[in-house]
Amino acid sequence: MPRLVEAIMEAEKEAAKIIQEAEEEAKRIIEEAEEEAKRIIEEAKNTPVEVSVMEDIEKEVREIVNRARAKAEEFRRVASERMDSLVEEVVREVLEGEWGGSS
Amino acid sequence: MSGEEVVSVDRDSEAIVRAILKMAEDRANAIRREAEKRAKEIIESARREAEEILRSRRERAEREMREEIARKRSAAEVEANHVILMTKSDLLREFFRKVHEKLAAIADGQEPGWNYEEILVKYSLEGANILGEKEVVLMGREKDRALLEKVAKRLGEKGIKASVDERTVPVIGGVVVRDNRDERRYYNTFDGRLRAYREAKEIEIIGRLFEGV
Repeated sequence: MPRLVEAIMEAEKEAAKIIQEAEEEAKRIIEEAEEEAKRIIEEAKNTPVEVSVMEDIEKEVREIVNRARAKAEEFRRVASERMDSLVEEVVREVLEGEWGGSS
Repeated sequence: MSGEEVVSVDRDSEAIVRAILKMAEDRANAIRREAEKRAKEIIESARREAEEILRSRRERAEREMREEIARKRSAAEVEANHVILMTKSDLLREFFRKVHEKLAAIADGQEPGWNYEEILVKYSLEGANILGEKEVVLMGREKDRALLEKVAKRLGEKGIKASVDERTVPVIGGVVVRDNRDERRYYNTFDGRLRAYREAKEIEIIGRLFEGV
C-alpha cells in the first residue's frame, strides 16, 4: 500500500506541475494579446490618414480669380468703347439739365 | 504478500496515476483554450477600436479638408469680387475725371461746341430769377472776371442790374449769384451741378458703362 500512496502523491505533484505550466502559458498568451492590442490601437492612432477629397481647390481658386480678371478686362474694354460718347452726353446733361443751383 | 497481490497493486496504482494525469492534462488544456479564447477577444476588440479610431480620424480629416476648401473658395470669391469692384471703381473715377476735364475745358473756352459766355448768362439769369432780385452780384473764377463783366452788361440789357463781386470762388466754372446784401446766394457752378448730377445719376451711369458684360 505505501507504494500506491507514493505513486498517487507523485502523480498529484506531476498534475499540479502540468496545471501550473498551463496557467503560466495562459497568462503569457493573455499578456501577448494585450500587447498586440496596444500595438494595434497605437498604430491606428499614428497611421497617416488619407483623405479622398477629389476637388482640386488650388486649380478652382485660380480659375475663380482668372475669370474675375477676364471679366474686369471685359469691363475695361466695354467701358473704354462707351466712355467718350457718354462723357459728351453727361457733360451736356450737367450743363443743360436741371442740376443747378442751391440757394 | 504474494506475487499475484503485488501485480494487482501495481496495476491499480498505474490506473490511478493515469487518471490523475489525465485530469491534469484536461484541466491544462481547458486553461489554454480559455486563454486563447480570451486573447482572441482582446485582439478583436482592439481591431474594432482601431477601426473606429481610423474612421473617426478619417471623418475629421475630411471635414477639416472640406472646411479648408470652403475657406479657400470663399477667399477666392472675395478676391474676385474685389478685382471687379476695383475695376468698376477705377473706370467710374476715370469717367468722372474726364467729365471734370471736359467741363474745365469748356470753362476755359477750349471746346468749340460750347459758348461759355452764353452759359454764364443763362446761369446768372436763372439765379436772379430764383432769388427774385432785379439787382444781383455775380461771383466766379478769377480768370472769369472780364467775362462776368460782359455777362453783367448783358443782364442789364434784360432788365437786371448786375455787378461783379471783388471776391472770387475756386470752382471749375459757372457762377454764384447773390443779392446786394449777401443774404442769399444761388450757386450755379459747374462743380455743384456735377455733384448734384452724380448723386442723382451715378447708378444709371454705372449701368450704362458696364451693361451687357
